[in-house]
Amino acid sequence: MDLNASLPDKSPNQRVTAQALNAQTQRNLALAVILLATLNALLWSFVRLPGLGGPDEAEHFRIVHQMITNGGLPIFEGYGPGRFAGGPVRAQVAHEITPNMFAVVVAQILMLIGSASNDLNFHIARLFNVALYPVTLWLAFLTLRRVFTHIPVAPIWGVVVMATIPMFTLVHSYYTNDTPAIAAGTFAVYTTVRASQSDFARRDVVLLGVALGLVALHKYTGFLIFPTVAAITIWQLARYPTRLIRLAIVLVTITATIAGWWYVRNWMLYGDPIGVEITQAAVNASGGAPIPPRARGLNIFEFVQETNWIAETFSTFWGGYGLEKMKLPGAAYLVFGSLLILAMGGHMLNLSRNRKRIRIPDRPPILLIMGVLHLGLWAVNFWSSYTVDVALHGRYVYPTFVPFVILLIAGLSAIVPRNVPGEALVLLTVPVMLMANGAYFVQTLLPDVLAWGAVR
Amino acid sequence: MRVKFDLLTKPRNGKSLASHIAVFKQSGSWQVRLLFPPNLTHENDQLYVRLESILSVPTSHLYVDYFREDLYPYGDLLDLDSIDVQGQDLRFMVYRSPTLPRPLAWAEIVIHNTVQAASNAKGPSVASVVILVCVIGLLGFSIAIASVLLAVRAIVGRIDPSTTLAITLFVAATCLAITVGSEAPFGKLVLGLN
Repeated sequence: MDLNASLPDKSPNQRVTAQALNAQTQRNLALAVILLATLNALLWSFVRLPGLGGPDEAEHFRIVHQMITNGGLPIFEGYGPGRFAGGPVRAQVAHEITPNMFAVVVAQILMLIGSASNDLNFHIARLFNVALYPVTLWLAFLTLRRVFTHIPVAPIWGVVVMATIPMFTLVHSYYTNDTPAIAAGTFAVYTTVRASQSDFARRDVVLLGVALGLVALHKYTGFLIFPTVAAITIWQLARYPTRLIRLAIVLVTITATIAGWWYVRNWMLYGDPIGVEITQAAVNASGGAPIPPRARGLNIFEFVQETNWIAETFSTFWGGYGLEKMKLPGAAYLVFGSLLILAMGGHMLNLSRNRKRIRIPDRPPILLIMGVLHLGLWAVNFWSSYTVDVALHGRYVYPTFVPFVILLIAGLSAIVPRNVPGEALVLLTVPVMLMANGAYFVQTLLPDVLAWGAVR
Repeated sequence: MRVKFDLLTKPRNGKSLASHIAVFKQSGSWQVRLLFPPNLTHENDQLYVRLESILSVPTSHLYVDYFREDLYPYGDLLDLDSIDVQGQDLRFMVYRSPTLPRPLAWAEIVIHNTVQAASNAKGPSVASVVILVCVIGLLGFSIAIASVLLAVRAIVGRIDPSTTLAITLFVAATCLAITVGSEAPFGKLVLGLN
């Protein structure tokens, strides 16, 4: 399936569907879903306990608090003795060294409007993460609309998926550095698709450069976009070396202007621009930290078996964060697993249908780009767990959630008939997804907080 | 093997509110489902379940290990024995029994628990939380209606309110049945015994 192709000739059925879901209806429905998702995340942020809203919330807030009390960016001074002793994880990169410009904005505003109460400050800080949710969803909608020009229902369905997956809602409802990384990553994916489709028009190149700069100023989970963009530009412009070099200079200049100072600062302060080495040295010096599986001599299979890596990351990708009993019922995972198997089956079907027409196109296929971004991040996540810090969680691949949704829809669209009943069936899944998200709130999220309150 | 379950107000010599003897005929994993009416206790009262094995041979022992099976939307069943509790007493509590009939009881409990959680989390005022829950509910239902309406219009070629409403309610009821099941406003404790 060539997703770069212009709008194909429509069958009579498709004409009816396009009329039923025209551009304005599509946009209005998407806006309503985005508004709902934002209000939902706001509600979730209200009911989560300050500091316990999600993984590492207290640690992320500590950085903001340091900026408010000390002024300026915090400086990493190592870990206290036995900081990671007896625990299952060790830090990958210290919070002070991990780029997160979003925290600077939050700290500046909290300095102006913050309260003496830390609990209230937690809730205020969370509002910034909630505010990023509509931005991410709108960028996702724009991306999906560009990719699935011939499936009017696809952008809506994709946005609803992103608005209702419990873990995706959760990361937008507590204070974390994941949310800005997701927003920046989604922006970068959108601008990459845009630039690739326009053959690197000037305005799109500038947008792409800005997006890459923003990615570089946030958590490393979004960094796979850099080699991917490099590969795309080389693929598309290899025949025009002068233009390729000019484009590379422009992109590097914009990115470095926005984000370069952070890495220069790290290099000057710690002698390590990325911070992994200095963090690992500090973790080891603190004493008693768990040794990474690879250094313990485990092979990959033993590592997967010991940590239950596949089940744990798969389950937490959809909902829950491990130790805090926030997972979904088993049946929900079966549904998600079935969806993935169906999507994979759809891709296989597409490949077998088009095997005689496979050729190397002038422009890298969208699905290949999305596959590299999403599956590549899973691979990096796996390797990082194996070699540095186990820290299992599916949310680490969220900066490539839009690529995941694109892969999912493309796979399913090979199976779901693209006629009127097929698209009507897809629309009927919207209320199901909304209700499932509501059920998670009632059945899992609320009891978690209420139980904690009762124990306290 | 017979196991007696006592519902107590205190860990040791509390008043017994209800009791039941379950008979297990096979070895292996046993699951026990205890249902009790909500008016058995008051909001935030703690309850204890005492498990007592009735053995035919005095020298026999029953070792019980338990795990919680369910998440309970109308309260939380805490399987946290405090230190001073001896034996297999399981503490749990029902936050509040709904006063309205079903299905309004579900809405009542959702709003009550959300307000309670926001209060635990030192969140905003009760009024703002209630308004937000209502707005989300209405907006969600509107989106559901709109999606179904578009689906119906795509198939029949015109806007059909009655079919749209019927399908929306059917989908909502099916989802409720799947996600909430037959969960009535009753206390329920499901224990797996090994």
